[in-house]
Amino acid sequence: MVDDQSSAILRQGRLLRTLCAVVWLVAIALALRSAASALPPSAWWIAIRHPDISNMGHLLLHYSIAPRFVGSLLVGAGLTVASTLFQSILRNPAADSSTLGISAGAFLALSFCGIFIPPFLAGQRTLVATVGGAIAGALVLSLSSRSRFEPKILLLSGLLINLYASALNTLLILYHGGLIRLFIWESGSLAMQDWSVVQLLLPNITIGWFIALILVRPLSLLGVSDGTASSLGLSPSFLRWLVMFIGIWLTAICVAAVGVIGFVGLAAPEIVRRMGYFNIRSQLLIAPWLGAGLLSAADGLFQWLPTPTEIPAGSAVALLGAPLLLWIAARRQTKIPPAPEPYLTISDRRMTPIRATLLICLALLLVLASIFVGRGYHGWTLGGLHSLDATLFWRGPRLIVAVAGGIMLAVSGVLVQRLTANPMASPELLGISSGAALAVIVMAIVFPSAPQWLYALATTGGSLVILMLTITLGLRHAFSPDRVFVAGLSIATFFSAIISVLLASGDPRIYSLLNWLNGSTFLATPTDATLFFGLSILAIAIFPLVSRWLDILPLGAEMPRAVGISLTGSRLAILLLSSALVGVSVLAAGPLSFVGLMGPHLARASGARRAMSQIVIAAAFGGLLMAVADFIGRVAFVPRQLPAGLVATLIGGAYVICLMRTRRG
Amino acid sequence: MINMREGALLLGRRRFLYGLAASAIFPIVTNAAEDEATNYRIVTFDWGLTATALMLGANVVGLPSIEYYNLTTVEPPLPPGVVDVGLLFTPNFEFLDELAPNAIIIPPALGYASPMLERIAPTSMIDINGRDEDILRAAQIGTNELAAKLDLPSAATTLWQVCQEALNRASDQIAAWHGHTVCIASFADERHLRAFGKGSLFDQVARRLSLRNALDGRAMLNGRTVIGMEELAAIPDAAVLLLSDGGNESVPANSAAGIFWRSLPAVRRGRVFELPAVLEDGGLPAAIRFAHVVSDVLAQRAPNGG
Repeated sequence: MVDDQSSAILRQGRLLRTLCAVVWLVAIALALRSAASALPPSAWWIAIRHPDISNMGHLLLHYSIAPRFVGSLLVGAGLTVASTLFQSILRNPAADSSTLGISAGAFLALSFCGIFIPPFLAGQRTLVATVGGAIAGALVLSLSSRSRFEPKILLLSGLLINLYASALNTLLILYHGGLIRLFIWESGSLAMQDWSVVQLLLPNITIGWFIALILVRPLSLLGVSDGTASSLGLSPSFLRWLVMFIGIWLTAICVAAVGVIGFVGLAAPEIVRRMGYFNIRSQLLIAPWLGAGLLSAADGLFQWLPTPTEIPAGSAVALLGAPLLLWIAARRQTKIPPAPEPYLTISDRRMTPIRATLLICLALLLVLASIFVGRGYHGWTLGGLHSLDATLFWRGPRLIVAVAGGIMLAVSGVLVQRLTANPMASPELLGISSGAALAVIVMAIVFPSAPQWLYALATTGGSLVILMLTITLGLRHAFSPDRVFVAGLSIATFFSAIISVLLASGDPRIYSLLNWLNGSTFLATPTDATLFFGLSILAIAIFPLVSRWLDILPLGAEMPRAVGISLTGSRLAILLLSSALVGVSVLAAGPLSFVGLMGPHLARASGARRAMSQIVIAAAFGGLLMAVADFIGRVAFVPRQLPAGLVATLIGGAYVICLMRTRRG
Repeated sequence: MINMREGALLLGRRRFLYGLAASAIFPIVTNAAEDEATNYRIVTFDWGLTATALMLGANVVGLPSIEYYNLTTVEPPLPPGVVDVGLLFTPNFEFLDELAPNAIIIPPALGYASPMLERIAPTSMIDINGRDEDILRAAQIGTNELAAKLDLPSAATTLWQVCQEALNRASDQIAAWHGHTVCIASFADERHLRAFGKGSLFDQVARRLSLRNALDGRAMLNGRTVIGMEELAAIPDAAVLLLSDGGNESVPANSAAGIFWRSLPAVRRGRVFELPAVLEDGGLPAAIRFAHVVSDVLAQRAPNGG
């Protein structure tokens, strides 16, 4: 953190105080409005002190409105303290309980225990949530430790863990037979019906805040440098672990109490920083008050909206928070320069045409063989269904659609990675597939019975919209990869928030989308199969035309100019092609599967270096991966079926996590 | 959070009791042409349709989510050897292919899968709910169609007679309650209830039992509406018939122990009657079951007060 004495920024104390006061006034006013709708003001005092249990108004005020108001303040303060601690330790203004995946980990642990060991959960929610949050936090930190917690890598790791935890959660739900209410709870609701939640929050958050304040001095020393800290008798790593743990614990308490509410910890500390208060002491003293007021005001505001069902606080805040994330991350200049990982050579192997052909043939054989393996209600069957015709009809189209989706995603992954010269870039993580998926959702709500081609048009349009956004953001920097990356991260986050809000709205049309959202291929028809497969072959066939660009672009910004290629033009063309590919593949295999990350990586790891060979090999791996996912989805939990996209996410995500642990640096 | 254990325990006791009564209440209405019925194997993709088909004497060999049927529909009990063919909206085509039924029966909601299902067996769409207020009549029509498809036309008439008899018997059993007001509902969340009114099967059966619905005159969507718990306080004279969710508790079980519920006048005066799960749109079998559970529960108490 930049120390304030060296900057010329004036501390805008008065402005900050006014802002705090305004926010709290709004929060209180909204709470009073709620109270007035339940009970006339003259009865308020009695209702608070000695509620008459035969009077509904009294009960509403005493057991619902009042605890909700106090609870929202406490959660806002607690999450802000946790995030301030994270931001201090990691030197990253975008670090927060939700962007670091800690809330997601806590919630996953609660879901898991709720389904498998309910009695244990009843008594030990905080413990379970803390363990889950700690595991997620540890994973995120270990993924980004090799790059010294560079902010973008940290955010990326957090997003990765968030997505993976969400996929695991969906798996749990599908395994258990589908419990929609869990989705709603995942959005974090501040609705209460007694004071028990407040009784949980009040002591823990107060203690946590107090401990954080005690640690202010050591933290400031740490902010100077590790050397200074240890020369004064402090162990830097112990302190870091301690502070991380306090942050995780505070987050876990809030998640156990009210569910996942993200981004609360982003706004308040950032505002305080921009008012000139940079040191940790000011932040820990001031930001929680602001954060408490903000969450309470936001909750009051959304309660006031005349929606048919209540939008849970978590979703509402996330909608506001994702753009906020973009704003914060985009405008910050990081002090640690990104370590450029050499993109092109990570393996000593060489991929020759013979090896490539062997690989592809092997993949094809495996895929074809898998058609004959299945699981009926009597057990495993190895000869297919009762006739060849039946076998091919029931297993073929869905397999082909999955493979086609995998091919297109993998190819677009190669494009995007070469464009950004970043091995961690992929259409899913850059928000392109999120944009396409948002288009599908809009279509499903507005034109539910539209034909397939209209959907395809919509998704390509969705990808293009995201593309345009990133162009606008990146125009000043000639599509610098950094800008594209950060924008994409925020969009992907925004998308998950939208999904949560839509799921929480309880609109029945949304449930029919769930299958597609998870990448289900089970309703694929032969027509679909032909169409998608044709498109994927076309995708591979186009690329000899642009392979020269693809070879040159990753070499840096100067190289294209030196060889006479228009930098902007070539990047734009690659982005367009990639968006179209993603738009179509999203229709086939759902928006998220990590195939766009894994395919290219496996291609590079097996020695393919030139663009064209990478495209072909990545396509082979991508297709194979989706074929495996489709197979597992078909046989794992019979008679229930897992969507291929979900399985691919689980496999691919695990692979990517292991990859990041071993290779970053 | 979901508390399945508590829901299952609650249901266990009642399920046992009703299981005993099931064979008396739910006769298979035809045993004529038994051989033909056994050979004509069907898969029904809706729990109401399954129950109706079973009561008609059909040989149901597969349905979705057996667990859900056992928790929410309960009666008539499934024959042994029935195969679970997946979730309601994602049928497992491979299982169906292996089962090779003679016919598949689907509700209107599953129309989009009809082309795929046609490849396995002739698929018929039967609606036992209809759109307007006379649900029983719609159920009768749907049942007749189903029986015609299964070549058991007389079974439908018999089933309708069984239903009428069950309703009459139930009405006689609670003669003391005639004219009294009830509110039929289940928990929606910690502070709301889903109540049934005009246009729902439950309301129609209740009126047939000469009970009045406290929410008469309220706007309903498909016979249902969501009311806040505080609205129950405004109708203190109504007896509350609280339907269980069938162990699929989407509401935390402790909401029944929550302060709002416990402070309702109906709860404090013991005028809340807990009913086991009955399938909401379950056709004639659900009507029979509902009549039976309501009359059993109400007959045990006198309608003191309004």
